[in-house]
Amino acid sequence: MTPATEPVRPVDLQAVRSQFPILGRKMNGQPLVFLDSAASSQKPVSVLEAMDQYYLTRHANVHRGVYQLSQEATEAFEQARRAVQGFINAASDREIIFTRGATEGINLVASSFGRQFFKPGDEIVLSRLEHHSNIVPWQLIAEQTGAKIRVAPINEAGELLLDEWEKLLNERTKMVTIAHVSNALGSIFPVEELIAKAHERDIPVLLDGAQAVPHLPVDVQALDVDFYVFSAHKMYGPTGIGALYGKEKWLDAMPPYHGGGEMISNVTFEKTTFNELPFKFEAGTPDMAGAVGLEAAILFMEGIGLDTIRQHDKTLLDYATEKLLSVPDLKIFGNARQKTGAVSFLMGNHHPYDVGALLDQQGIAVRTGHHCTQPLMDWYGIPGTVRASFGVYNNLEDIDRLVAGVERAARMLG
Amino acid sequence: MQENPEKKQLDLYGETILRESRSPYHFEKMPEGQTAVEAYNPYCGDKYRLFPEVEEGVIRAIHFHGYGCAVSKASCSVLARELEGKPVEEARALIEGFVAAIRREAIPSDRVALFAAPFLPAADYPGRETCAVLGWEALGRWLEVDDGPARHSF
Repeated sequence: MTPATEPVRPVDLQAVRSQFPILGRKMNGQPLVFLDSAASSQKPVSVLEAMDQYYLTRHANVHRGVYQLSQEATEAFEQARRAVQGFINAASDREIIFTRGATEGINLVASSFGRQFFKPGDEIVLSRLEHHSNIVPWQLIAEQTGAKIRVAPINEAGELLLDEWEKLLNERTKMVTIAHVSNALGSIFPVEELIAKAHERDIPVLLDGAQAVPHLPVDVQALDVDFYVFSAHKMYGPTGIGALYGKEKWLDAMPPYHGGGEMISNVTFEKTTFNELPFKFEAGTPDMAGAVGLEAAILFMEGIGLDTIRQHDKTLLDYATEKLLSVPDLKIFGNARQKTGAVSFLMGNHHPYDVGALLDQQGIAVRTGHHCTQPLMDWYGIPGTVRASFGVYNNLEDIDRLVAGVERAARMLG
Repeated sequence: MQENPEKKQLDLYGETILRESRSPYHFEKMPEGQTAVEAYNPYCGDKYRLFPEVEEGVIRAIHFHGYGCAVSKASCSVLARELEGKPVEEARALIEGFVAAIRREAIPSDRVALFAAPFLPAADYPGRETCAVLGWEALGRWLEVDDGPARHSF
């Protein structure tokens, strides 16, 4: 007998939306419909209040002073680190490195891991769906070390071709890096399977979780992933901060990324020894207020419930998909069986900029263009798409406004 | 800086641009071998080929074909209509005037304002003035090249 699963509590939209004053704004005379959370989500009042309270009552430099205020600031910062640890279920807070965001996390791993482990002829395997930030850092380190990039193909639906991907793995493969969720299409990759197959060959795996953490519960121990990166600003937190999770065995074996204060244990002009984890990778005064804001964002999401957030996103995505497909000549790009957070489309032969600009006239904010995934758009043979992406504050009325807006744009463009 | 929350942009998608993009003038693929000028913006993927026909220092006709946004298409359409029958020297001056007006580097002459007006709001939209001048700048560059029209005039 299967145990009865507890029904997921629906999101209290009125309460959630009241946390986001920006949603009360008007754009071009119309109430704002914000459908660009995949680029950057809006921030709840609780995140801003937490950051204010930190600056107004607890701020001093961290890990430095003997005085109480500095210790309080350090405690606030380290508590934020433990909140991140709990959020993704890392084994230890030593494995959580604060970064400026997912991009810096990938650059850190590419540079530090690459310098230590890549040799000429080694290979890095990624996918055609990657964001530029999961392509370019690897190209940079490949150029320096003589390693090569191998690109795994996808199908028309925006799903990874698993067999083809697996064929790319060999004894020269030194890193597998892949998005957990595609930013351009919303596809969820079968990461458990990918990690298991890579680990059969002792290849470490980095997951770009920037688009996953706002929508899916993530458990890095259950995934057994080697590196996981994400940004706070896509999950209701502040800009300029994010986190890198790395297995301790790797982080210990990797050289520092940036040099400076905080990351050292002893400095002489002859020889410098480096601090322990996680400080080895955190040179300079960190973004303490940002870390506190990230913790508040985690509390905001956990307060709603990650399952509730997931279900709400599914409701929005299913509704948007169905309604958009009822618009004549509208084509959705990315029909993966597992999707979250975004729907990408084109209408007839109209350029995405036209549709985006005409939606903006109606107060509807969507992203248009290549979404930092030019190789993917080239593969589809399109200049870009219109992407509507969702946050926990979006409601079905937002989708109705989007669909009406798209229909109006279609009439105008003819 | 406090922006007005009710601020409304000047409308880039006015009647002229929508009409010109729906039924563009001389929008037609020309046979291989005919002189073609590429107007391409890799950032947004707009890509047109302009087919200027220059005879004895006069632009007899311009056809164009390709893909892009309503603004770039309408702009090429206006270009094809406005420059038809113009001596190359006059066409150059009109192109220069149009581009300067869109980029807000100069106040357009009355002559240029007649056809540039619908495109003037483009500068209020980030990156969109590129759409408005795409075909004009490409043709302007081609006319500047010595062996451009010279080679193809008879």
